[in-house]
Amino acid sequence: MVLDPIPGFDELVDREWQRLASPGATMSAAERLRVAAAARGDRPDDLTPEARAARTIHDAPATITEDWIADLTADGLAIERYVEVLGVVARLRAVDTTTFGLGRSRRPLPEDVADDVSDDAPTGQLAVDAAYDGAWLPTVGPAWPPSILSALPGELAGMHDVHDTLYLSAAPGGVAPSMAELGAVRDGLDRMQMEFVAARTSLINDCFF
Amino acid sequence: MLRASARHLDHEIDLTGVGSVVVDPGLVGGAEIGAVTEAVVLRDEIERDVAVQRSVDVIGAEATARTIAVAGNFEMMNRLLDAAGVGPTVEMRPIGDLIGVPLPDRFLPEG
Repeated sequence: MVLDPIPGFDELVDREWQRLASPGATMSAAERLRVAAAARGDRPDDLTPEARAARTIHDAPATITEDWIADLTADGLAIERYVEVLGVVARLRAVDTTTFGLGRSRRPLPEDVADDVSDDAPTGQLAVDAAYDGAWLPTVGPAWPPSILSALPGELAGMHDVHDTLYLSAAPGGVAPSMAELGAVRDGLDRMQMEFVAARTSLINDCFF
Repeated sequence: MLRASARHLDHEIDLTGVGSVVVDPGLVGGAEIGAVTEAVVLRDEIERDVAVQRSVDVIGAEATARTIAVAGNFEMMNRLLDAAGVGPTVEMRPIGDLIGVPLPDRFLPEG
């Protein structure tokens, strides 16, 4: 059975694919696409720390420890690149899970179809005031769900784009109802039903936040 | 947030329905929504087709599509939290017992 997607989903995937095909703060578009492919299991022989991080974040995030991240950084993965890998993989997982649930085929990555993939160098756009504050990676302000990717503003903006489209806006004033609206309803699904989905998803993923 | 939204709407729910598929959480379509969520997150193609059809029959196609999207969003958020080492706060720790799934040792205070 193939379902029609929620409003805005196809446009969200277009934007996410554009983000993948563009340079990030620390990685070129080609590097971001290799990370995405590794996360999908398409590059099993790629043993770079970026690919190893991508596979674990995608497949077994609850097994991640501070020591494991330290091993990656010792192997040459700067913590800012780890944050970028995290942003790319986490958003890809959101898009792929939703696509699967709708009964659709997985969309090929941009490099697979020779789309316009940027040759530009990484942008270098990092938040200068990011610091370690309650997490294993630097954040702007205390570590909290909306701030986890805040060391890289481009990754953070991408997260909010996915969050707003699939669920709710983190803050009032966005295009979607906000998380502060405990009586929000989207497409007939009320807030309690949404939070039940969130809790069950987190339980399956062994995530206890 | 489930408990907060239920309180806001003055709705009685059974939080242990989060941790147990045999407990009715007291939500419209709760069993069907839970089954869709499991099938989608576990990428179970056979279960997905059955669960989605049943969910569409109970809550409709649009709400089922939103269920899938919300699961997708939390696939992202779970990874961000676990990969950053951001676990439950002290205030959140009792929630494990409330949903019938005690917190793993890694989240408990040492000693």
